[in-house]
Amino acid sequence: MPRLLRQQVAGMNIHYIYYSIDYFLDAQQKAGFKTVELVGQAPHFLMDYTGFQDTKKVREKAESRGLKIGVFTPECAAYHYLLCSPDPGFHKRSMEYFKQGIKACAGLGSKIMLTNCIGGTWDEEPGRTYERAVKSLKELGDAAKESGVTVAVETVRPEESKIITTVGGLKKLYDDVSHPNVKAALDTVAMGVAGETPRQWFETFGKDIIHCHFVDGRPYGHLIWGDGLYPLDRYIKVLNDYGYEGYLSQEITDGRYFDKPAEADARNFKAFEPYFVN
Amino acid sequence: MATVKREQIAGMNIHYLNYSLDYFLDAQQRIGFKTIELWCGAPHVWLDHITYYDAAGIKKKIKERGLSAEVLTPENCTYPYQVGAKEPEHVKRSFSYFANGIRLASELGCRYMEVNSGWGYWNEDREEAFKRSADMLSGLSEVARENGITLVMESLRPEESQIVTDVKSAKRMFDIVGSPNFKIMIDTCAMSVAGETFDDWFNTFGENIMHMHFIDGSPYGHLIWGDGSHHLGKFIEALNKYNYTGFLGQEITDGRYYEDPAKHDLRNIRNFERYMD
Repeated sequence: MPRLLRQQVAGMNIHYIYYSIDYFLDAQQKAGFKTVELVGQAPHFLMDYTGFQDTKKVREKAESRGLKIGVFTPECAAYHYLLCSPDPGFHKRSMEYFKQGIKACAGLGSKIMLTNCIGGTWDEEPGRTYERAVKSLKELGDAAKESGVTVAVETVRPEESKIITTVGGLKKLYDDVSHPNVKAALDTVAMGVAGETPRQWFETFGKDIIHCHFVDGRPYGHLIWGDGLYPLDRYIKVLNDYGYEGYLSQEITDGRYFDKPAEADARNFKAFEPYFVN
Repeated sequence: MATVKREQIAGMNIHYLNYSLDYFLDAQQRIGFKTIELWCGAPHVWLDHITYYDAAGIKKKIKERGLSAEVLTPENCTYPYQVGAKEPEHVKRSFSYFANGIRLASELGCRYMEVNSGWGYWNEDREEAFKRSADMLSGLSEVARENGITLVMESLRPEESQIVTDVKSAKRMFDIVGSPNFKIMIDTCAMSVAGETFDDWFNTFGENIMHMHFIDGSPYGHLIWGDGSHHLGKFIEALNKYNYTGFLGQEITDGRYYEDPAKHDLRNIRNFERYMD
């Protein structure tokens, strides 16, 4: 029987944009989560390229509900902060934003900050976007090292970026960046869209997968488990086979859940219940 | 005979988010647009609560291509700002963001800046959210007056907001804000989703309707004309009936257009050209 620890499954706040952070945290506690991956997004956690809101207060809010902030993700797809932006000004401010993100991550008590390689434009030669990704991640790796944080890089769908959309693409990037504080994150939707499997990912990266956005998909989606078509038990077995002990974040983004996110999360957490050994 | 002028059709850059500003402007010129409604979002225009970049450079690029930016639309659904913000720091940032938008609009020589009511929280009293929104819109109208800009407010779909989602709530907000620099715009998607018609909006607001997001839909979607279920000729007839001669912003947001936005813009303007003299 595939097995998990309760604290490995991490709730996320993306689908709570119409609710406050207190509402989100209450809902996580009620659903049974022990861990959250906090996304730096309004109105829950305000940040920009000059700073961020008081991390201590947010951390206390989480801890008072028995929740640990396991991972911090500065919003990195929907805002104007994009790691691979070709415009020098956009890129500079985005880099400053992610460096603030690293500091916020440490302040929130997390060791992992997630990002991706979005932002290159289609009218730019993809090789140049790639070079910018490598250079930017090396720089973030240095900043992360100073703060005791590791940057986890996920792949994205080909609609979002021309680069780093496959396990092979991420492996090349990983080798070219070659920084001890830059590792890999498996996003099961990007994985499915690319026609890949969790096993391929672990065969490629092994222990260098330090984080997962582990959600159901068709393969598009970012859905509550049960609403997509992925085999939850088989996927957890792969995690077990490779000794993965990191988080399985529930990055739920589909608009259908925005109205009643707490209900969706309760249902989602329940799907993991049969696998918990604690 | 239903008639529209080329200058009324305002091309927008939301669906060009995978391309550079230059690529967008080149495409607008080539396709035959004369007017644009400039959306402020990555990677085209940087606008935030601290500052904005580079008004003079952007203005030059637009002018060089024989285009005119008449409306400025700050990204106000997905960025970390909203008119209905609640927490003091979020209110402060959001106000500064929209005020910066007004200043940028003025520097670019636009007449209008688009706004919406924001949305508030789902688990709060609707009136509270409405009041905060009215307060911010009143303050922004004052900034708009100082900068010679007119704000035009659109309604939102009920999935997006609990504040201004139909002609009735728009009228209430219009009356409460009550500023000469605060006017109304129709978004044909929100209008259709609310089950409303041009008659409903013009009978309520008359000449205070100063702008439109005029796109096809079924009724959801912000689609290229031809891809939805509305009749372009009948919609233009309604504009003619009420002597509306303002701009028709092509707020195309559907992901299906992101790969090759220029191809779809060309299709779009060809459909409008059937109604040009």
